[in-house]
Amino acid sequence: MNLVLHQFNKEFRYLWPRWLVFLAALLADLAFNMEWILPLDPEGVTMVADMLFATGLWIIGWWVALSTAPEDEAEGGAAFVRTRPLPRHALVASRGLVWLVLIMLPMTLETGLYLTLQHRPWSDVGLGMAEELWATSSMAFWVIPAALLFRGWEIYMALVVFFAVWGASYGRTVVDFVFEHLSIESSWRTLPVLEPARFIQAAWWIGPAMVLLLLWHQRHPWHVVKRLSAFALLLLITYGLAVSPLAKNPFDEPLEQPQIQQLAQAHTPVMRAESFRFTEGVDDQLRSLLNVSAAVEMDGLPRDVMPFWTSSKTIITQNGRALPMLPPEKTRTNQPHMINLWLFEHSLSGALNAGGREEILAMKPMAGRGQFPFSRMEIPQDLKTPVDVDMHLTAVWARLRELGRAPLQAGARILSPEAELEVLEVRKNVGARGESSPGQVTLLVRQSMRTLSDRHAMWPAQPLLTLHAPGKKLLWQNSMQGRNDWRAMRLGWVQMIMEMTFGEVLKAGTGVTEQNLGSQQLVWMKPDYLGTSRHHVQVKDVSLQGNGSFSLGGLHSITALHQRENPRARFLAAVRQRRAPSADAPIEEAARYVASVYTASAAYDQRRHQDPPGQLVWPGDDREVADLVAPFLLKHPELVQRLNFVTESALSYEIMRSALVLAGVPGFERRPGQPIYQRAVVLPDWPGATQKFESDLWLTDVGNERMTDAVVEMLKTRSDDPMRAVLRSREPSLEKAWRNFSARPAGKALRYLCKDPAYREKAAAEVSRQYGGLGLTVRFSDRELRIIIAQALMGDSAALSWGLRAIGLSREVNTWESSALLEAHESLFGQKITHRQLPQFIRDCRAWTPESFRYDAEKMLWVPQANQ
Amino acid sequence: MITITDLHKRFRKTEAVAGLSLQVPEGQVTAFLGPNGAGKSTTIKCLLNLHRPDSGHAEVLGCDSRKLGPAQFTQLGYVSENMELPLWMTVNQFLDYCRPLYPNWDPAFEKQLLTQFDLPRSTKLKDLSRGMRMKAALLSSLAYRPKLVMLDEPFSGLDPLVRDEFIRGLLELTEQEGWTVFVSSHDIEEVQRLADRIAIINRGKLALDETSDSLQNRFRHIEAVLPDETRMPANLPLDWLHAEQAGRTLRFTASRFADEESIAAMLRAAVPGSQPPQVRPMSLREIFVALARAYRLEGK
Repeated sequence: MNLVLHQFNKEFRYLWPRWLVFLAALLADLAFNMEWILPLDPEGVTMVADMLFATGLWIIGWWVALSTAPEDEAEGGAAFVRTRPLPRHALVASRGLVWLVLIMLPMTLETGLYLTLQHRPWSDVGLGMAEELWATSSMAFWVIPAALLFRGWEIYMALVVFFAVWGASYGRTVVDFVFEHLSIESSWRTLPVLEPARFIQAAWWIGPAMVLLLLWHQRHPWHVVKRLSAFALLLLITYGLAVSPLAKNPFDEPLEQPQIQQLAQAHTPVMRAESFRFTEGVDDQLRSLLNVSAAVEMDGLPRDVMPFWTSSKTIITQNGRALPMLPPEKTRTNQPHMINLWLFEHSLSGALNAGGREEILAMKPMAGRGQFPFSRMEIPQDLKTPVDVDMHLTAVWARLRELGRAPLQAGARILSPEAELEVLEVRKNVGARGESSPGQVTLLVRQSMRTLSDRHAMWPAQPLLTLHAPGKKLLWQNSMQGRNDWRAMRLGWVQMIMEMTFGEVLKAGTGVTEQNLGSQQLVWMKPDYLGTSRHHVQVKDVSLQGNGSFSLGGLHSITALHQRENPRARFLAAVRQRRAPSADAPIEEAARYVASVYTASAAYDQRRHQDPPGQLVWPGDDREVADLVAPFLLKHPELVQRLNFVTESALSYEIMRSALVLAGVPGFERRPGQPIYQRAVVLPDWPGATQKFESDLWLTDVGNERMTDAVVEMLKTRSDDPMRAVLRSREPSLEKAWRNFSARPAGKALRYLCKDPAYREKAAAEVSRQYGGLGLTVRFSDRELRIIIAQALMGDSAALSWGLRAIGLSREVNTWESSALLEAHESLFGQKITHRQLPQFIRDCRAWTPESFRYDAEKMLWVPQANQ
Repeated sequence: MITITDLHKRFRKTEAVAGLSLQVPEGQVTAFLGPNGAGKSTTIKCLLNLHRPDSGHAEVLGCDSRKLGPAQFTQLGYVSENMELPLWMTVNQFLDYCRPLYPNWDPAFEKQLLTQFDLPRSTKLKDLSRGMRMKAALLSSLAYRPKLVMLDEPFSGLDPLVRDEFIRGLLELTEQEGWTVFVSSHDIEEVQRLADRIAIINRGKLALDETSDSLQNRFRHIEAVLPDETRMPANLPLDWLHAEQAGRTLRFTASRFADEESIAAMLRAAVPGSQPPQVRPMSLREIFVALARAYRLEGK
């Protein structure tokens, strides 16, 4: 021991100037974290400085610990100590003392001092110091062997390697590359400065390999390149382990796993075929693919728990053949740290609602209705044949816990044992970038959070700040985060200052004004990770094209061209410029031509743009283009099957109509407006009597397939018999209406179904079920609004209230939204309104309450009280 | 004190030590000579467990060199031209650091050596001349009265005056203390005053090992005048080194000289009609050079 201390004494005499540099850096770090210098400032970039300080301290610490007196580090046996009676263990132990006394203890004391000065409880001070000691001691296995492994300038090379792998993102790049090829899921939090616990764990695991490397080097000396490579490899392995599922954080452990297991066993998840959406997207390499999303229903769950779903394995089969799937998005995992992302897409108001449904509703900018993106697949050749889906689901369960409330005023504070919040400034009508933005409210808040591993306020899910208007019972979530700054990420009590912007607060219909803003509330909620459950679900006959799925759209060409000139004229010109095949060209050549017309159509999609809704910006139609294509359909009627009805149905029907007119099929004439087909046929069994047929080609209840078959037949036979056969088969059927209703719960269809007692019961149950699955928000897709309206049509005044609130807060910014509002009006009140009347309807909804109406059960309508 | 048996050490393609066997007797100064690259330093590093031999065996102070550790280093002094010293320390600090490492450190002897070497106590080692630094290193390796002192090219780079001083000091101490000293050098002149024995290594193998006296007794420089028109025969005895003819004069180094009569008889037998040779004793340096040349020729 004497010799160990003797050698340490000698090392200290050599190292003390460097140690003073480390101490100075440590003091600067403390001063910085305590805000004695460079206080928190959202306009500054001092959060980068925080990362630099944290990384820099490690680097300086390593530099001190790796530094060895030149006489002890010489190569080839020239080292002074090699031929002196100093036992090897004494030399190694003295290096250990250098790390312990000169680096570990000061860093631990800094943590203790910081937590004390931040007035943290003594238990936290002790725990913080213990965690710092644990973190720094994990490095002992690395530093001590490295000090004996590298000499002179090699130390600096080792530091460069260390920084390149851990500090810069090179390590992450390599690890990501390897993991991708091995299909290993990695944590997205791959920054040691943000989440050191995993890296400390991995450092303990791999550290002993450094000792082995040193022993190997002493027996079979390695060139510096080999030693540095081995060192880099060990660092990379450590990095890889840290971000792999093998490394676990104490704060990632579930709080109520047994209860969640019981809950999951008691409730069966249901995925309905109609909830599936297949939407076109692109991967990292901009290759087209289909995103598969769907809703998972689990009836009867307690209101305060929320399952978030992912699929660990998805098999989609078509005609018994498995379709090729693609790896899921890297950012979507089933890890609990995804909770914040999921909560971004879901309404938080359930956590605040004690009872009734029409309590607090979220002003959620994203409407999801429980849709989860599950998988990605290659775009199949056959988009018509339904598929069967087999999914192994993982549900991550969370519960929102209220940390506290405060009035929406500067100086308001929320204090809890694990986190504190103070409102520094409330900016009215100011956007996230400081710009004037009507309706928006930007807050400057200061947050402090406990980041000790036994209960971590930031991981796996951070607290969420929401704005609550008690008057109108509205909740704003998903604030847009502006500039921010943080401190002391590694010291157990992180401090942040950040700007948060809530949109559409000071807006008509919300009841929030500049004057009463101070009486609104801030609600701070912490998501707790409760547990994970696994399930297996199989769904048959899922349509790849229905339910709002979009595919084969040429999405990129749509945005590729933004023409200032008339896109309708440009489209026609573009088609005319294309070299059309000769009249007797074979079908394949003609098909290529037709496909090229669709490509051009997608590129000039702007010709269909409406502003305001219902009014074309570029009036006209595609008839001239259709006339150019029609002759090829006459020559090859089978071409009709290759028309694109998914995203280009309007053009496709135009082409079919031109072909039928050109073919001279009776009843089809070129006439302005509707209907396309008009025919009076003599009834053979009833001399002198005629049956009149009038129809459009676009018959949603018939379906594209039957319609195109009929058109092919008509083009072949030049007879309109197939058209009449289709029309005769259209007699309404309750069963057909029921099928349609499940997918599209429109009010009109509901009324039709309710005429039959049996279907009324079924429809009521279906509406109630779908209504029960809605997120508590006022932002909806047209389908979700239909469900609320349908529930209201069953006489539910709460649903009417919800519908009115939702409509009163709608923005009417696009065509589909305005169509949904028009349909809602007609469904609720049995009267059609025009686009011009929509703004007044929205304004009325802000003033109306369910009491403004009475329910007419017979007609299934809501009638204004004034009209009684 | 040191026993080396069939020692081999290879660095990649170069065989630095190729089957060296040598005994270093106790109480004597053995000079370990050889041209640069002959394998001297490698041999010493193997002896000190700084290199691990590939094969063969070496014993130092009765201990297998592979197991040489702190216990042996307390009785072993080692000074090398390449040894790194803590240059940032003063002489005093340096000795303070070394002292606790050796249980048998003799402070009185340290004081005596300090005076003898005339070392300035408060000067940093980096500020000392190279010679003074070597003295400090020597002091740190002698103050505990080691049983064995190993010196690896201790005189390289020292100017003649300092070298002389250093050697004189070492010589005095060796005689006084009766130490066993194993000193390597590439130049015999440096050690000829010190050495009781000479061991020469060439291309990793022992080329010669005998006392200085014996060496000086068996080497002679010979000059003989040959008859007119006589050419030096091709098959002269093998122990006549570097034979060369200049006009009628034949010169060579006899490496197994017994007496003048014998060499005259051998010369007459080799070159009939030659006159009696002039025989001159050789210095150790001349002998070493002659041997070194011979080894070089052997190598070719």
